[in-house]
Amino acid sequence: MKLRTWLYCFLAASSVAMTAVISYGHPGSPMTAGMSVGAPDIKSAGSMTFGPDGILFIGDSQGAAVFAVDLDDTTKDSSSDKVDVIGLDKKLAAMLGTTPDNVFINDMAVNPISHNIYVSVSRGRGPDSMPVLMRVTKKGAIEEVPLSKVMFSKTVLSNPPKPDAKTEWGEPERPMTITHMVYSGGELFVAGLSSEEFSSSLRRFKFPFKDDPESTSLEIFHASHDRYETKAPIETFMTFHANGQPVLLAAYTCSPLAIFPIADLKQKKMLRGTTIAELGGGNRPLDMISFWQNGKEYVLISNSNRTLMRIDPADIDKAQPLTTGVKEDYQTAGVKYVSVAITGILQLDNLNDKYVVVINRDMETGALNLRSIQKDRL
Amino acid sequence: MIRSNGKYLASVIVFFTLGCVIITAQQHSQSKIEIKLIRNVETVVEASGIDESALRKLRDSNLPQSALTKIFPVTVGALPGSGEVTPMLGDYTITNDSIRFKPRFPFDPSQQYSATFDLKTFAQLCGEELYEGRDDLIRLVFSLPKSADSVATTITNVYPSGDRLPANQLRLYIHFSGPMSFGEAYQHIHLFDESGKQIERAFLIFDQELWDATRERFTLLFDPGRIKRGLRSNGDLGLALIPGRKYRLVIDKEWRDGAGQPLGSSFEKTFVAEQPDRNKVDPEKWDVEAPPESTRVPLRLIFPRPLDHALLESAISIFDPEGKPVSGRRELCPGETEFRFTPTDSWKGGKYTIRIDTALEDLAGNNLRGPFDVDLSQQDELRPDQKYAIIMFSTLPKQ
Repeated sequence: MKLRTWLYCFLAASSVAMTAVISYGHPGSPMTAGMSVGAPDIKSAGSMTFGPDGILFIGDSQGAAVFAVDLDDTTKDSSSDKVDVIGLDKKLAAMLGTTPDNVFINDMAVNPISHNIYVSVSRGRGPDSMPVLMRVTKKGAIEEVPLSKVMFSKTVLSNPPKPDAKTEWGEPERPMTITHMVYSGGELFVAGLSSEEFSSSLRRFKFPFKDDPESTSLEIFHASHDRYETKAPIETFMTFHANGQPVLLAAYTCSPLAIFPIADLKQKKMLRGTTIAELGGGNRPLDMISFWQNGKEYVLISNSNRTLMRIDPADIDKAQPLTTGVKEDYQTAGVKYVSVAITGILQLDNLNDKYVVVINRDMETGALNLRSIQKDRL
Repeated sequence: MIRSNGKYLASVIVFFTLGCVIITAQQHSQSKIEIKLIRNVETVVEASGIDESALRKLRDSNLPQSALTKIFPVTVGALPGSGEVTPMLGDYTITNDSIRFKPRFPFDPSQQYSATFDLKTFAQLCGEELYEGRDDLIRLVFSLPKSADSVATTITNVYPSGDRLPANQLRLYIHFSGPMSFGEAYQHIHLFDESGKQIERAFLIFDQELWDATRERFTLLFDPGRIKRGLRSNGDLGLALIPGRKYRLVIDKEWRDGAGQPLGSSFEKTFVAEQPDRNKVDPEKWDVEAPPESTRVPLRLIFPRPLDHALLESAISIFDPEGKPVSGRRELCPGETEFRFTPTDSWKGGKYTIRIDTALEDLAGNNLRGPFDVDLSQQDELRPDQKYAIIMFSTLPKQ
């Protein structure tokens, strides 16, 4: 009898403990607080970035929301191997039961802990386009990452562009609600467009998500257009440093490079950034990373209409603000860059100590390949 | 004699029956494996006719889905082709007598697929001796049958509907009967001149294309660089449309709708280009046909030149003698030169206000504020920045 009593007590106690664990997420990670298990209602899987503990943030421009998903992919990888997948679009299309022209790769992000490569995809066109999350493993195997039963939380973006809104150039604004995201110091920075008058916005969400995000409207001097702009969205950005100060380094369409001190972002509702370079008109910067080569740090930017660009941080420190326009189309100004002779880079991220990984359209064969490039060759 | 014959007969019957049973049993194991597409609530591909005990062994061995993909891969395309073909994602279920594959994403009606049952791999993985030594590949190439009631999407209208357009025509609206796909619009739109030659670079191309929210209305812009006086394009290429000449707009039926199906038919519009229109829209020149009071006869506004179909839908509002907005039905007559407004309630007696958004444009993009194409060197007339223009009318006396 006594034994039975003990047994019941034990069962009761462990049930309580289990409930506590389930409510508060993984026993190991306080970052999953506020998450619950289910199927996130993602309408479009776009820009992605990793947060702490392998948590993946997925930006949903159509649904005007950001999802934080715990993919349980936290096994540390210390290798420095490369990964290559030839014909990535063909393989993705075959797996998704369609043809390559019906599959759109939106973004790529490498899990900094496991080094698995995540790819956000749209399957199909038209109103039935479906979001899919895929993963390329270190062995080059492609898998779907099922999202029907995961630990996740969601935050909603207020004032996204209206579904019919168009930019000055006639492009629909809604898909640019979220253009890029970066997690840093307990906050998720989200760049994109809003429906406010100064439409280029940078939102900041504390993570784990709470109820009020803060946001700042941004203005920069656009040297190719020779005017101050508030409507061009940031294409890509990252946290960096200039003269010892933490800054956001941001690249815009057509294509200014600007810095915003992070301390100012936290205090001001409207901020004018310092334009430090004009990378050349008629171009969209696509991705930006920092990487180390022979003990020295560099910034690397990939572009829609130019080669990879490599920038020395010492030049960023010395940069003078640009406030006058360039005289001719396509002219560059400000911070120098080295044109690394690699083109067709559609996605770029750090893979490990030795390699960056890219999704690259081969100019000669037309193939879309995922490939690793050695950092000491950049 | 009969009795011994009876015993003999009985034995023959017994052996015969036994023999039949044995033969039948063997035939059952060697019965044809076949693959078919099953369309119920869900669409699945099924391989049936497989030996039941072999299937039982497969089920019990609890192989992962990736192994089942090796036995029964389903791939995109009519033939598996040589070398590596990546199989489709999906779920495999083993029933009593079949293996079923349900694709992760629905089969695309415009695609062909191959489903292959690899007997050799099956035999290896389930350790079934029955199929040992056989290396058949049983294959089905299929596509979704077109359902009887699927109607092709068609082009319902192209605006402007008239057959005379100014040489500096700015926009065309193409209306479809259902949602369309995106990403391939411009390759299906062609403009030909009188001699049948295709006119290059007549239209502006946007990567994102210009659709309304339901993807049933496509906006096609003529390249205004060719139209705006003084910009580079006009200098090099000249206007796409030359006054006095005849043109043919052709839209291919290969343009796929949201379900991946081509249109029901191609579409053609023939028109003649007139002198470019560089005058602002002037409501003072409109013919206002006022309705009689106490009736619901429509108010008619007749324009000397056609106006933009899409903008007309929302640019005109009516207010009663007390300044309250009047609700009613708006109608555009073919040719877009007449606008009709039928009120929900009868017209009162008195003076009504017609409020026109100054952004209302004609076919060449001129609006109420000024022409589309402003000659800055001759800025004799500053464009007023007012949002609305007003014209008044009085209802006719009761008849």
